Amino acid sequence: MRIYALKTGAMDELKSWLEQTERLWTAQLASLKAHVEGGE
Amino acid sequence: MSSRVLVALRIAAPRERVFEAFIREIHLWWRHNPLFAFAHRTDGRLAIEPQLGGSFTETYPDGTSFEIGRVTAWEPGARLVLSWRQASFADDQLTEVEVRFETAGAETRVTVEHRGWDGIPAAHVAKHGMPNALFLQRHGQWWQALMGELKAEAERGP
Repeated sequence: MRIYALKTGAMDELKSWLEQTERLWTAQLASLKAHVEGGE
Repeated sequence: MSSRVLVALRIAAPRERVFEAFIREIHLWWRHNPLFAFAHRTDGRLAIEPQLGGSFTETYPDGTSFEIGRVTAWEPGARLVLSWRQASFADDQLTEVEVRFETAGAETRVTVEHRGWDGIPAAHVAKHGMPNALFLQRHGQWWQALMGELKAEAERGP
């Protein structure tokens, strides 16, 4: 029971981190787009 | 187990131009993010040496620099692969970023695949703290799991 809960926690942490990574790249690509299309 | 993140976007410019901007102008468009600080600071200037094996670095105002990774695939105008390692990563943790540039009509479709996430940079959490919102979110998840366990335990009875 306890071991199962620990594994679940680790997966939640990784999932949360992956969501943050996705947000990071979404923001970076939006910034690249603004940079290129803005003609800077 | 290894996880990946995939993000794509269309940009209204030829792919050669987008590739050029991605590499040579990264210091102009990159947005610093405390959670993804390469070496625990966010005042650096990013640079990618434009060749196979080239350095991907962040250089700070005091002149020091941190090597994030290397260019491991170099196909100008089409594809780029960078190794990616933050200072907070465990010794054996190395991720990889593949960027693909494809023509889509008059535009370019840019796809970023960040892979190799076997775990999160634990040292980052332990030594350098998480931004509050994320910490609270994680803390909330921890409590949720704990409560779920308690509920299951309670319902099972003595």
